[in-house]
Amino acid sequence: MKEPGKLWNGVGKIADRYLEEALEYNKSSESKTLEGKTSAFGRRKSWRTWVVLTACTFLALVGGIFTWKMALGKGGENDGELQGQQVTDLLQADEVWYVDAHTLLAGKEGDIPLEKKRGDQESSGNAALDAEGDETEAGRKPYVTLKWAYQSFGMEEITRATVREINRKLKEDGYSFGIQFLPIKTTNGTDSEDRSYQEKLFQCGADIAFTGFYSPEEHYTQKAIRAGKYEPLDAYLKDSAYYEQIPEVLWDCASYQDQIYFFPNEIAQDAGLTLYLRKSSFTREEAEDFCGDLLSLEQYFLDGKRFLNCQSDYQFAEAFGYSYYMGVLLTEDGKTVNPLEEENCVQWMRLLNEYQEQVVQSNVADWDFALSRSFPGTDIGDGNHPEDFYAYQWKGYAVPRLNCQTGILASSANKQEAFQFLELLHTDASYAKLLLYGKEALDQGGSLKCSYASQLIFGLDTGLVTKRQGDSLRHFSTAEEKRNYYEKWILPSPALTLKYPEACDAMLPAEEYYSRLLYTEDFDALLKKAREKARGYMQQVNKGIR
Amino acid sequence: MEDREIVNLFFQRSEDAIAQLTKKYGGLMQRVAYDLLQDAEDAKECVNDACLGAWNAIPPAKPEPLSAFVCRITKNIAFNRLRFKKAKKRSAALEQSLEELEELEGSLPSAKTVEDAWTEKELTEAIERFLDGLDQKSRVMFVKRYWFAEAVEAIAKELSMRENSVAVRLLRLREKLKEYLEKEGIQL
Repeated sequence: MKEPGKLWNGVGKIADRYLEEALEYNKSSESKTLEGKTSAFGRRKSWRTWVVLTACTFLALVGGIFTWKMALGKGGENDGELQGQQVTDLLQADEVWYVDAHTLLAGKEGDIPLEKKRGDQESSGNAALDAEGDETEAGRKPYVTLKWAYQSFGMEEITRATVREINRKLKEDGYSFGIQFLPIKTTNGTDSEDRSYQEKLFQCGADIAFTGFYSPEEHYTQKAIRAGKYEPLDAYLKDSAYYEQIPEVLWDCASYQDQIYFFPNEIAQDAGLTLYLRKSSFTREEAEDFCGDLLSLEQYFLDGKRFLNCQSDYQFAEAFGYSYYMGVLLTEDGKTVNPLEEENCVQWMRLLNEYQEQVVQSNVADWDFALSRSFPGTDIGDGNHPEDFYAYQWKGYAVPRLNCQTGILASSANKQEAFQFLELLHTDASYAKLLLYGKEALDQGGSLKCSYASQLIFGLDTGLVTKRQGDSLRHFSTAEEKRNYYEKWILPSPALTLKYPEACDAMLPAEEYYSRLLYTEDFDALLKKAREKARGYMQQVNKGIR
Repeated sequence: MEDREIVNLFFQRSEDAIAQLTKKYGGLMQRVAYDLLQDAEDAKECVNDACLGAWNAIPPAKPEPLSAFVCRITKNIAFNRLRFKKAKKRSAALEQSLEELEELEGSLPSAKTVEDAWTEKELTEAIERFLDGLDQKSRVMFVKRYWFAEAVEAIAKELSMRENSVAVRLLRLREKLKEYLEKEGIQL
C-alpha cells in the first residue's frame, strides 16, 4: 500500500471541529447514504451486531487481561492482606486466541469442560421437579415447547435451521421439551425501546428471559425481581452439577436479597487492579521493591517518571483494601464510606494533582508506569506488549450484576424444563456450540457466526464455553481451574451483602470530582466543595441500601 | 442519547457505554472504515477495535465532539490495518486521495536540512489556517476527500453536486493549498 506522505498525515491531524463540520454538513442525507452502504455490507443489521459484540469485547478484555500469565512470581500473595502478587514479568499467554473454525468445530479447542456425564444431566436439577411430583423420566412427560425471550438487535443470528436442529437433537437425546426463541426487536436502540422491552418481556409468555441491555442504573431487573417476575433458582440448583462448576462468588453476583435468580454472567468480574512498570524504565529490583502501597509511587514521580492513569473513578481505592461499587467504597465489614473522606484516597488524588504534568492523557503517549484494570497497551497503535512490563496485581472484587443476565420467569408453566435446558447449554458443548454458532457453521465448517453477542444474550460467557477468533474472554480449561482462579484472585465485594445494592448509584454524581480534583489549581477548595456534595449523596446511599 | 451522556457512561465504566456509542455512531464508524478498507468484515472489526480504543481512551480523554473522536480512532485503526495487511483490495478512493496529496507534496519546496523541515504539527496548523479561510462547502469537501478519503462520487451525492464539479473544485482547492503553503514558507 502506498505510504501516506507528510501532507496526508498533516491533514489527518486537523482539529475535530473540521470533522464535526463535515459530518454535520449533510446530516440530513446521512441516513440515505447509510442505507446505500447497507447493501455492500449485506444486511442492515450488521453494524448493530457489533453493538453487542463490542460491548462484550471490551468487557471481555477487562476480564481477559489475566490470561497473560504471571510468570516468575516470587512471593505470591501477602497472607491476610488484600495485597496482590509480587512484581512479575508479564508474558504472552501460551493460549491460542485465534482458533479456526475447523479446529473449533472439530471440538479440539474450547469445549466446555464437562465435569459430569450425560446421565448426570438427566438427574441433576430435578429436585424441584420431584418435589412437585411430576414425572422425571424423559419420554413419559408431555412434550413442551419452551419460549426464550431476549432483546434483539439482530445480532444473535439464530436461523430456523438452527432451532430445528436444536429441537431435533433434544428429541434424539430423550428430552421432553423443545425450544422456541422470541426475539423482541429493538431496532433503534433507544432508551424508550429498552424500557418497552421490559414491558414486552413479561407479556410474551416466555419461560426463559434475558434481562436486557439497559443501563444498570435503571434498576429494571431489581424492580422486576421484587415484583416477583423472576423465579428464584436456589431450589433447582440444589443438586445441580453446574452449580458446583461455577465459583460461588459468581452465584452471589447473580443473586438478589439472598436468592439466586440467574445463571452467572461474569463479565468484568475476574479482574482487579494492576500496576504496570515498563521494563525499559525500571530495573527488576526497583519493580520488586514495590509492595502494594499506592502512595509509595511518589518516588517514581520524583524520579520524573510518567504515569498513565487508566482509572476514571475511585476504583483505585481497591489498592487500599476497599471494594468499589458505583461510586461508593465498602470496607471489609460492609461499611459504606465516601472516598473523598478517606485520607489515603485523598492523598493519592493529591499526589496525582501535584504531579499532573507527569500524568499522561493517552495510551499512545510515552509512559513509564500505569494503573489499570486492563492492559494499557490495548489502545491503538502504541505498540505496547505484555512482555515489556513488570506487573503487580491486586485482588479484584466481584460485585452485584443483574443486567444482561438470563433467568426463568416466575410465570412460566415449564420452569423445571427451562432450568434443565439452561443447565444443558452450560454443560454440554454440543448444545452450546449449536446455539452460539448455528447449524450452518457446524455443518459447513466455514466461517463462524458471531458468538460474542450470543454468549452474552444466552448467558454463555462464563469463560468455559468455546472460544473463537477475537474472543478475549478469559478462558479456563477446566471448571476446577476457573474455581481456583477465583479463589485466589477474586474476593466477594461487601456490596453483595447489601439488601438494595443498587442504591449505591446515588453516589455516582460525585465521580465527576475525581477528574476535576486531579487537575484543579486549588485542590483543597475543590475537595471541600466535593466533600459537601458527596456527603449528601452518601446520605441517600445509606438510606437506600438497607 | 446525548454525547455527554455516552461519555459519562465511559467515565462510569458502565458496560452500556460502548453499546450506546455503537448505537449512535456504529453506522458512521462502519462507513469510515469501509471507505478505507472496502471490506465489510474488516470494517466490522475496525469498529470493534475502535470501540475498544474509545474504552481505553475515555477517560482520561473527554472527547467533544464524540463523533469526530470516534471517526479519528476508526480511521487510524483502518489505516493501520491496511498497512498491516497490505491489502490487495484497497480502496480506490483512498489511493486517489493519497496520490492527489502526494502530487501536491511533490511540488512543494524541500528542506535542505532536517532542522529546516516543518514538523507535522506546524504543517497541521497551516492546513487548519488554510481551511479556516475557505467557504464552508469547500472546507467540508476538502475534509471529506482528504480526511475521510471519500470517493468523489460519494461526495457529489452527499453535497448534491455533479461529480465533475466536485473533481474540479477539489483540483482548485489543492492548487490553493499549494499556494498557501508556499506563501507560508513551507519546507518539507
